[in-house]
Amino acid sequence: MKKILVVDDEENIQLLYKEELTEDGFNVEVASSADEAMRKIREFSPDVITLDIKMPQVDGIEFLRTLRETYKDIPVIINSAYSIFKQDFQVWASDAYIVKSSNTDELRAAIKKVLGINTGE
Amino acid sequence: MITDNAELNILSEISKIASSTIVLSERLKFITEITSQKMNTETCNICLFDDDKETLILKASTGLKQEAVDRVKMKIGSGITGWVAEKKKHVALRNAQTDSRFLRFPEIGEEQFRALLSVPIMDGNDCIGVITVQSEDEREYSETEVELLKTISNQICGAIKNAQLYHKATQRLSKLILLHKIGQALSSTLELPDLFNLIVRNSCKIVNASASILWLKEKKWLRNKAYYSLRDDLEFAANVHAKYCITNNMTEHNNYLLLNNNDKTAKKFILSAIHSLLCIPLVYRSKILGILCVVDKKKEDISGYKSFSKDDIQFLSTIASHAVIAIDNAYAYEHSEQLDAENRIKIKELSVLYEISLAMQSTIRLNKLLRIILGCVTAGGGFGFDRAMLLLLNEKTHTLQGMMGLETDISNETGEIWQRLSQKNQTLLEWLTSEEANGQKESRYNTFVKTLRIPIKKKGCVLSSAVVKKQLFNITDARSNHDVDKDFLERLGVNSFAVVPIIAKENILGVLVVDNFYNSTPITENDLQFLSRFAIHAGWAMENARLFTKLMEKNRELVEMQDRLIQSERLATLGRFSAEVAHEIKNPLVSIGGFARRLYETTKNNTKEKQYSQIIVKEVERLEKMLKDILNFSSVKKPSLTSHNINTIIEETLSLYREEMQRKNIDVKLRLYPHIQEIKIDQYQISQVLINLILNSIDSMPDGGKLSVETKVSDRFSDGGVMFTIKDTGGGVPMEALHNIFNPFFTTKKSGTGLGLTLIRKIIESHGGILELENKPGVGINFIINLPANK
Repeated sequence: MKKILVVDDEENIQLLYKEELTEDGFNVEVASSADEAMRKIREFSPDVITLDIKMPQVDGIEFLRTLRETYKDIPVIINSAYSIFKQDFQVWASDAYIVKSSNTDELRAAIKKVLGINTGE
Repeated sequence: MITDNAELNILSEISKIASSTIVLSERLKFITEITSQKMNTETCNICLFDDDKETLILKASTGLKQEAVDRVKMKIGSGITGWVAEKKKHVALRNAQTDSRFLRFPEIGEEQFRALLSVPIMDGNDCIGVITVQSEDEREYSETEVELLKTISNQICGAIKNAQLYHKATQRLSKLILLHKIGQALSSTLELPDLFNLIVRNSCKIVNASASILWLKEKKWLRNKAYYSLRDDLEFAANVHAKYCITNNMTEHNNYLLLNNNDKTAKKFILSAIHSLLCIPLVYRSKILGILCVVDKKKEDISGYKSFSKDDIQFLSTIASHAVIAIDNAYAYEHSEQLDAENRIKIKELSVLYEISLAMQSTIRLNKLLRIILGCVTAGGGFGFDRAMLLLLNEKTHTLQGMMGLETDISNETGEIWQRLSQKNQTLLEWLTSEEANGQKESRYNTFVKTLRIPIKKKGCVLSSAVVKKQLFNITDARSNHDVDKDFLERLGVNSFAVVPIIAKENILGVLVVDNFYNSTPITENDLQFLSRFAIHAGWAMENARLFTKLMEKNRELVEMQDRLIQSERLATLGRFSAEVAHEIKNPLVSIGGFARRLYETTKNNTKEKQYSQIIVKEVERLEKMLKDILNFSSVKKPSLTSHNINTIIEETLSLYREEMQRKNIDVKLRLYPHIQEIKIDQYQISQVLINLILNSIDSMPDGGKLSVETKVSDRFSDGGVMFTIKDTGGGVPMEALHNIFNPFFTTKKSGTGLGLTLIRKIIESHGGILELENKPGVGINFIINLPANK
């Protein structure tokens, strides 16, 4: 079973994503901050991370930079309410950039793509 | 023997004759006849003194040769008659021929007469003549006869005086009549030369002079203006220095001068020998205008000259006083005619300039104004030149640039535009802007003018000099003028032309060059003066036009800037709003929508819970879309350009909505140019444009319709590009809303932020592209977008 770490400071969003992704057959962990995320990565060893940008103290971009210093290979999907950074990060350290939406189809499709799972479409 | 009765008889008859009105000579003749008859003598003759009282002339005779009358003369004291006149005593001689005093005059035929009685004719103490009777026989004359003859001589004296008075009175009357006629003539409006001739002719006549001359004062000289001479030998000076002005020597009371030949001053005026000269000054309002002179008064009846009398002085003075007024009037009239003519020209010029300036103020469009300026100058009618050209100064390149050249309408035979205007009751402006005036085809002259580019620093070029020196040049012989550029002259084709700088507020705007190519009339001083005045008006009009245009431009820029400012403020507000608040809204929406969706999926169909959760999902989607629009709008950045094929992007974007369009019965028609070039675009932003347009079209066709998308090569850019159009049949935008569709927040839809079209425009503009639309209210709208290659 593939493991997903959802990094987002919003509890409701954490819950939504956990429910949705668990139904998709993933093992889901959540983190509310950059620090917690780092800890969970060490402990959980996720296969893919979904990352919000706006977070307290350390934002998602900085976290990603720090992450890449240690974990170069873990796929990261940025999942943010901001759409303005989308183009910048296409060539940046993330593997995908999904603008947050109440419809999680796009996020889930991106996760599956990154993990090389045949979506069957 | 003469009785008392006979004596009375004689006296009575003589007295009757003496007081009759017949001519004096006739009267004297009658008297000699009666005297001779009644005194029984063979002869009776009367001699009278002439004016100078030196000479006695035989005036009437009975018994002597009639041819001798008025011809035989004797000096006072010579002959018996002369003696009697000198001594004022009578002489009675038995035989006159033996008397030592006797003087023989063969021509009178008195050889046969012996006895002689001669009595002086006395007027008081003056002897005025002598009456003499002669008999053939020698005899003594009695006392009675002597007394009778003395009495007769008194009668004669009375008759003579009467006649003389009558003669003088008649003469005086005729002179007064003549004077009156002269006065009338002088008070009529004669031209100066005619007036002068009138004066000299009548002056001569009225005083019976041999010649009359008029000199008038011009500055320091007296100029001979006219003369009338009855003699060929008289020679008059043409100019006399005013220091010889005789009036300087005149006494206070005598406003005249009588000179004789020996006088040095007289010789300055009359170069030949004369007897006498009478000069009267012409004084008007205490100013001396000149001198009127008469020369050599003729004696009446006999040849010779005598002095001018007091009467002559008076008559001439009267003429002079009339003459001076007439001369002054004539000068004034002449001057006023001149002024009047000058004024008429000036008024015409001014009214032309007024019309011209009205015409020039009518427009602020430069081309129209230039046309008017050149039209005025070539309009004909005394102010017109055959050709005129305008060159304007380009301040950046420091060159004079040929703007327009106009030729007079040579097909118009009269060429008299001003006359035609008044006939047609048209103003200059109306004519200049009419079909007729503008009907001129493009001439070779105009083509030539437009090619002219003259650097103002160019030496040896009169046009440049006119600009640098800010002065007018009238070139009368261009070929031999070193300041005329030979190449320009050859192309111009005339040898004479004028160059006028057009100045406004001391700044040179350009130059006007005029010539008379067709009629070769020389350019006059009057023309140049008019041109200078006209150029001032033209300068103002052009400056006005320029300032007005600038003002309009600035105003337009300001309005645009203001619009943009307002828009950007709105946008800035929007940006600020969206960046923070929108983000805060998004996360809760994700939760609300996400869980509502989960509820929807887990509830049974046809339950209220399912329906409610569906509503929540839909509304959240709507909010998310709104936020997305707002965030997208505020986040449009500089496009990141990469090469793409627009056809591919269109197809990919359409595919996202294909299912939805099928459901809504929207027929999609694609005409994509297969060989479209790749262009550099920001793929994401252009996709946004397409998405917005497609969604707008879909929204406008809820009951179905047609969506046509086409791509073509664009011809709007120098380095190539593509054009794509998106056309729908969604009814278009109402006319009243059309101008607002690109305003942020404006929308004709029930839902939506209105930001879509604003975003599209922003993206297209940031690509350097062109966004256009064709709106057909009731039918549909067609968006046309041209994007450059951006290589």
